[in-house]
Amino acid sequence: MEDDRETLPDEELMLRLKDGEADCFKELVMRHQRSVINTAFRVTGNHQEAEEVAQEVFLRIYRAAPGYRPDAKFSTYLYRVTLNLSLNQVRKARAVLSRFFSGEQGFNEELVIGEVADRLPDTPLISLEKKEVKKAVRKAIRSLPKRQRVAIILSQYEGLSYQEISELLHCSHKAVERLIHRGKIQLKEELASYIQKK
Amino acid sequence: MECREIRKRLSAYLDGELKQGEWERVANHVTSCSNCGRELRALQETCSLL
Repeated sequence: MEDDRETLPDEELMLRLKDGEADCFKELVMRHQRSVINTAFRVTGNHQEAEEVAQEVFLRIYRAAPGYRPDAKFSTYLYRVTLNLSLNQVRKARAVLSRFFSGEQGFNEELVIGEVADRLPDTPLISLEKKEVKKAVRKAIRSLPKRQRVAIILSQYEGLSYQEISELLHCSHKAVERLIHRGKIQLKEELASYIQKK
Repeated sequence: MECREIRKRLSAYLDGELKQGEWERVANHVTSCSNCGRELRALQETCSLL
């Protein structure tokens, strides 16, 4: 019984958790902990807060299990909870909000844009430029208005469709398209010098 | 006028979010309009940095 948990879809794990199989919760945490922390981190900009948000996310998932119905994909549900709690965290913490927009005090560049490094070729020749690009991308993303930034992150980093983003942000598909396009136009302008270098 | 409308759709075009008819309209336009083609490439390069 225990062995097959790794192969079960998330929705089945939630249904088994609902029926009292507490170990299914461990499997869900192991499966999604990293992505939840990453998403929370991109929104809050603070690793400790991202971990606290992740704990709260899984606590809510656990508490919600008795009433769980597999109406939607579990991953969409998980993103919605993570995003809402992350945004709440940002709203509550004025200091975090200030840091996110102004780029001051304790913002960990390496972690924020860590994925950029993974996607660029890792040769010594371009290591300096990689750092520079990472820094510029972080700054450019941070300069976007909040909803544009969230839409861009969910689309470009999390791989969500416009439809999934529209459900998370409670807006139309067309509104998501506008948010993402405006965000990309601004990023294009902010990163123009790096585009010309290529 | 067409360029303006097409440019609004370029991100969705790159993200594979357009329906087939819309996709074809944008694809045909960017191959024949050098300005919009250039804008498309700039957006592509921007996304490649993210």
